[in-house]
This record gives sequence, structure tokens and C-alpha cells, in this order.
Amino acid sequence: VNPVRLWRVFIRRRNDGAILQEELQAHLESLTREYSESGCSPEEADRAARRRLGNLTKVHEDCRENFMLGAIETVFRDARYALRALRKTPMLVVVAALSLGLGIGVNLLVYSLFQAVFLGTPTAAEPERLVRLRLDQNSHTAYPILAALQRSEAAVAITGYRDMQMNWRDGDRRVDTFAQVVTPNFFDVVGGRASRGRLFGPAEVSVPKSARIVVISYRFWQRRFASAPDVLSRTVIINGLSYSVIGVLPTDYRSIIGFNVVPDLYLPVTTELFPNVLDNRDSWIWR
Amino acid sequence: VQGTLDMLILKTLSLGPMHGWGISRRIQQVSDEVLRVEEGSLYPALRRLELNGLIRAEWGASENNRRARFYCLSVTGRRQLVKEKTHWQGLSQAIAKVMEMT
Repeated sequence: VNPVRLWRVFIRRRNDGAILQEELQAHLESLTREYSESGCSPEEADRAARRRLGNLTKVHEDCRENFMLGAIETVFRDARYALRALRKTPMLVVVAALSLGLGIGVNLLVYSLFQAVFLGTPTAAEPERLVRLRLDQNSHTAYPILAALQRSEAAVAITGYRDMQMNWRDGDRRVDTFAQVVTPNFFDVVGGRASRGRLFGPAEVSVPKSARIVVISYRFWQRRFASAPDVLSRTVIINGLSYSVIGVLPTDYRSIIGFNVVPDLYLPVTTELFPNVLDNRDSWIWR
Repeated sequence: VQGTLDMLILKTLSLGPMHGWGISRRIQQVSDEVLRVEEGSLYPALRRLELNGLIRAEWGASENNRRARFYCLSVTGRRQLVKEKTHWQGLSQAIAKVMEMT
């Protein structure tokens, strides 16, 4: 590429249309004069001159070609032309954008559902070694049986959890909150890390001793505590009892429930929560 | 003949600055009306020559006192004309020889 030529192209291209117009106009007039001097009537001369000059748009186009900078500019012009054309049919654009958006949205939804249901593995140290146990045809198992199983060494480790709806007191409001009450070894067995603070383990919690501690989900921390950095020094009132927050789960934590559902609260099971948790006759059920 | 229009324009302008109309007229007259320069190719060719630096263009007054765009030969253009002329002479002699072969 010759830079001098490029420079000429740049300083000439903008006004060349007007210049050419003027040149062609003068040319046309001279032609007309020549024709009328050769004995034509003014109308005939005008018509003949125009015919001789031919398609002026074509001349303009051929001249403009000299100022083209190649394929990139052509693409750029095409894009501008496309935008201009789209502006003429706003309804079509809206409909096209909506259906594209909807299509992409549905596609995303289906894939993320598929991922959540079929492909996603829970956040666990060794997800391939996790097994869900069901006794007989029951979905749930009484806690004493669970405790007996844990002692029996039938598996490397057994943990239990129970989904519960709990009251979280937010000022003078009571908010229904999705909690999972788990055996103290839950995080040890399943695995996982806290993004802030820590998770509880059997060392600090032992049934039936009371340990009023709670691990909260990232979402809960974000939405209910506005991501407060001092959340670990706070206590929360759940079902009328105060618990200290000891940890926040990471944002990408995937619970063993699946479906991208993560409980807001993880509490270790205590006799305070379930006074008769150890009582065989009253079947507290766990799964 | 392909590529000769540029040469004809350069040759015409070597006689002095001229506007588009004048160039086409001059070529037609000198060639005894044999060569008619199509306006559709003249003006694009002028652009091409101008951007390649062979001719320069500036505004001036035409014979009937109108604003007109005058083209004149640049130094490079003059050099280019000499080159094309030699090339053309060689070519036409070669063609003549072939055509006169017995």
C-alpha cells in the first residue's frame, strides 16, 4: 500500500461526489451546445447529450470505486446498508429480536435444566462414592436406626439430613426459610468448603449436646445479609432460638438435592431442635 | 485497446492543462473522429490517474468563464507517458510486422 496514494484517497473521497457532479454537469452543457450548433432543436440537443453521456449513476459508481480501500470497507458499507434497511422495518426487527431472544433463552433453559438434572454432580469430595440409602420402601428412616447404622460400620460413613421449613426472624418479620438439618458429620462425609468462615464437623457438635451454630448459603448471605462482611460475628434467630453463623457456602455450591436447589441454612441436629430425636418410639424420620 | 485510454489522456495533457470535456474533444478531433472517449470511462480514468499521482487537478475558469476542473500532468505523469509511449511504439511495430508478413 502506497501511503501517499492512501492520503490522496482520504482527502479526495469525501467531496468527490460533488466535484464529479459539477464536472458532468459542465460536460453535459458543452455536449448540448455542440449538438445544437450542429443544427438540432434545443430539446433534441438536450436529449442527445443525455443519451451520449449515458447512465450518470454508473459513472459515479465507477469513479467511487477508485476510492475504495478493499474488502474491509465493502463489508463496512454492507453493514451500514443493512442497518439502514433494518431501520425501515422496525416491527420486523422487534419480532426477529424477540424470537431470537426467546429461542436462545429456551435453549439455555433446556440445557441448564439438563445440566442440573442429568449432568451436574453435587459439591462433594468424591461424588462417585456417594450412595443414597433407602430402607425397605421408605423414603425416610428413623433417627435411632440411622444412628445404629452409623455405629454398625456397614458403610465407610453414613450421614443423615432432613429438609425443613424454618422461621427466620428478620427484625420483627418472620421469614419462611428452607433449612436442612443434618447429622454433625454431614460436611465431613459429603465434602465441601466454606467461602467464608468454616463448616461444622462432629468434633464440635455431638448429639445430643446442643450446638447452636449454622452454615448459610451464599444466596442467603447475599440476599438477606446484603453480603455483609461481618456476617460471621452475627447471630440469627431460627425457630425462636439464636444461632451463630459460622460459615458461608461458596457461590457455586451444589447441594445433594440437585436441581440447583441449595438450602438457605444448614444446621446440625440437636436435642434442642428435636427434644426426642433419640426416642425410638417417636419416629423422627431422616433420610 | 485496453490500457491505452490512460496513455491518450496523459498525451493530451502533455500539451497543457485541460478539463474533462476538453480532453474528450481533443482526442476525438485529433483522431479524426475515430476515437471517441466514453464519458463513462473518462472520468473514472481521471480519478485513477489523479490518485496514482500521474496528474493533478485544480479549479480554474473555462473558456466560457465557468468554474471547471483542470487536469495537468505531474512529473511522474510525464515520466509515465514516456514509458508508455516507448512500450506502445514497440507493440505497434511488432503488430505491424506480423501483419505485413508474406
